Amino acid sequence: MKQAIIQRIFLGIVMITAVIILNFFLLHAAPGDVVDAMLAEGGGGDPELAARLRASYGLDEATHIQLIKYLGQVFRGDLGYSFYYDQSVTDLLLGHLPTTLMLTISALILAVVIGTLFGVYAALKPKGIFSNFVTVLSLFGYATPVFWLGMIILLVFALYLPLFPAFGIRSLPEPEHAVGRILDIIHHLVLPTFTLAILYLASYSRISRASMLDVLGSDYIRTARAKGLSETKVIFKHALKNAAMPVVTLAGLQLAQVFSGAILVETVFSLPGVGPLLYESIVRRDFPVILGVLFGAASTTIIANIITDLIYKYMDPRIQSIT
Amino acid sequence: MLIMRKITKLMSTLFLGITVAVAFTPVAHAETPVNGGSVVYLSSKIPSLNPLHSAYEVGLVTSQIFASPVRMDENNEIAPYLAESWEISSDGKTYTFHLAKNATFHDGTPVTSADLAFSFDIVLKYHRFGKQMFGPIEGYEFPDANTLVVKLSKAHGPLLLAATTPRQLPVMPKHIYGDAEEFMKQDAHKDPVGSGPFVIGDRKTDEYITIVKNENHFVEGLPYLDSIIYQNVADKTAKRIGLRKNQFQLARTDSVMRFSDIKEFSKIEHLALAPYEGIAGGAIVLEFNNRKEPLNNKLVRQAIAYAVNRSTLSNVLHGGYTIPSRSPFPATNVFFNDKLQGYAFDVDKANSLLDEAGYARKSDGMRFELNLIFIAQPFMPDFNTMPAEYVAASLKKIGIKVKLEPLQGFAGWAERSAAWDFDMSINWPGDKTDPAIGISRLYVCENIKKQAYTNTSGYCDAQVDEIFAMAAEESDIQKRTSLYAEVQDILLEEMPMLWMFDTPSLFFRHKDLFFPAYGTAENWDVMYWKTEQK
Repeated sequence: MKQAIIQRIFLGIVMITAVIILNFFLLHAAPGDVVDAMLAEGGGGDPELAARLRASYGLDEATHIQLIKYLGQVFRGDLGYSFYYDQSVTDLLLGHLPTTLMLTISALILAVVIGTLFGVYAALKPKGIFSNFVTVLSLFGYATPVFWLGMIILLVFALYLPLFPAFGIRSLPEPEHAVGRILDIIHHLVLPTFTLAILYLASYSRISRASMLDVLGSDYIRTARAKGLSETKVIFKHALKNAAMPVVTLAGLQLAQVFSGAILVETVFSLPGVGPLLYESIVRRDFPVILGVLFGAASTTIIANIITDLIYKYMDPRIQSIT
Repeated sequence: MLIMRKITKLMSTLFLGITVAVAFTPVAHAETPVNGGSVVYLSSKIPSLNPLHSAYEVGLVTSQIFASPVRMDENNEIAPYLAESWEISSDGKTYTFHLAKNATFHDGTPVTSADLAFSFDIVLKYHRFGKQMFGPIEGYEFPDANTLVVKLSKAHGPLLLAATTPRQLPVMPKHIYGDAEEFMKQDAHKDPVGSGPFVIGDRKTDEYITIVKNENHFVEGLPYLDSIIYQNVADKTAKRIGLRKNQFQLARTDSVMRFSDIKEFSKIEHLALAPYEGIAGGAIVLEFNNRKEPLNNKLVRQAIAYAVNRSTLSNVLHGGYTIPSRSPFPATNVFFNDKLQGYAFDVDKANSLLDEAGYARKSDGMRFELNLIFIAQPFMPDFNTMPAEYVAASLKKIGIKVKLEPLQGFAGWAERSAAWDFDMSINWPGDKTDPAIGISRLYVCENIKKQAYTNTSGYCDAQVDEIFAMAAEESDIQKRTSLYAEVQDILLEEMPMLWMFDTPSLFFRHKDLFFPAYGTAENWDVMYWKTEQK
């Protein structure tokens, strides 16, 4: 078991290195660099200054030399320096990560819990009104573009019914008390979290409904009922445990996206998360930041996969090895 | 009329050479400014607080943190700021600045002539227009701690105008910035220390920046406001909601909203649109690649100028918030030639010019095809996608087929522009206050470089070069004016690019807020509430 995890981590490092190398060359194939973008943004500039900046940013060296230097830095735990933001990429990521994680993880938990429950109840009466409601809701959530949903939610709950703030992660000035500040942040996160959760929820309710229907028809459920177990016990203890496997798979996949999977929601609600940072950096060709975000995303994917495997093993003891 | 007024104004400060030392005092306004209060400015992202950063919004913050030697007053005259007086020698090669004795940086150290010299050097080396602004600086003399003598290798007209904004010449403390080797990689950018009217307060990158009144500001009585908050909001819906709910009392129009929105926001009762009355300008131009056939033919370039109805573009599509350009210089420029009217809309004339140039219509009604590069949506579509599509539709009528090539972001466009790989290009060069900084660079032969915003059109004319060079080396404002008037005549005739429309900076302000829309519209220390705010 321990060995297996070490093996996975080693494989993960190889994967991340491959991801960095691939991304590095892809980025350098894109037109323009950060000096171009900065000069263009500032309305032009002197070609000599551009050359001097390129030299001081190390952009005048050959791509493979830059790559080797960058890899060396990353293995020493330094993700480089952003010349657009005038700060180190690690600081930049650490500054943006809390917002994104708060948003994506709470949306994910909300979606998994509510979505699975919806799916389970829908499966109990597959032809009932609730089941149809869940089907419609899922289709709606699945088919709606998230930025549109976000805009509508903004208009309804921030303008017409001004219950929630329209932008940002905190009020200005901030409440004085620490408790007040936490409540303020939660207040700001309600709309974006629900927007993202509605999007996620669709898949969970669909999958758990289908999987539950499947399980409910199997022999061991009939046996459990025949033993005279209560319906609640049958459903939640016997059926759900097996029906939840696809949900875990899906949650694992989405856990891998917590790092950068909420660009649109973060943009619509003006949250200072990793998503807008990535988008802006792509526009400005700020390569160290883009590579840093991709590095974070790749690491999260690998960690999420390991966690998912561990949960599998806990839920289904038949799965012996995690490799 | 306007230009004469501007000349006399500038003459009083420049041409006379010696300025009487007067302490800068806040001018008397019709209403009494309220001391105190706060303003929330609807901002886009402020990535850094490096005073030489390229992002426009960064300059809006650092212009309050840093002070410049001089600045523009409400009559667009050069007024004392950090320098309470200055002299220019008769040969234009020596500038002497006398700094205000009570001026200190935010850490309490006095602002000295050494700091000013240091700032000239840093700007010269690291500012995007350092060379154009202060290139001829040869050396300094330091008669005392408050006096700096700047020695030039040749007379240099733009120097004083370039020193009118902290965006171009922030006076930086040598004792803080001086130690690190690399200016662009300084820790000091995290907490900049200047001598301006505000100090950096609470802030979160990507969310907001608060600046707070500098209680020890060297200008008596300023700033009026206690604080300004720059709130970064990315989404259009959120911006609308915030403006409606009075969550922002100030917003710049062009970077944050479309012209169609301005009309809608103008209906909001507590908002007013502040018209721009300043001196810095820019224009959206349709740049021609003058090297390539058929655009190397003057008649073709003129035909295109006649074929685009720029008045419709500005007055209908932009709702009157832009102004059809009349000259190669924006109408707000100090040296704008007021006699010029630009090209009228005349399709017949355009057609006959093309016939005359030898490009007859072929069987399909088309004469030739040109490509047109511009920055794709969502970047400021009113200034890029919309004019590009309008040009394509207009030129189709005179038999020119236009292939639209939207490019991703500044970087995508800059690469094509730098490679001279275009027939036509939508470009937005600013004049950077002085023609010798922001305008001549687009036309002189020596600036034909593989770099965006240089003379990428490849236009080259010895006479134009000579006039620009003479005007730059002239400190007599009247002589400069007549030289620039002449060059505007020549360029308008030669049409190396089509100057489509001027883009004045417009700001939405709360109706009770006084907003200084003069100069470069960045003297926010004199912004004030007309009535007490709750």
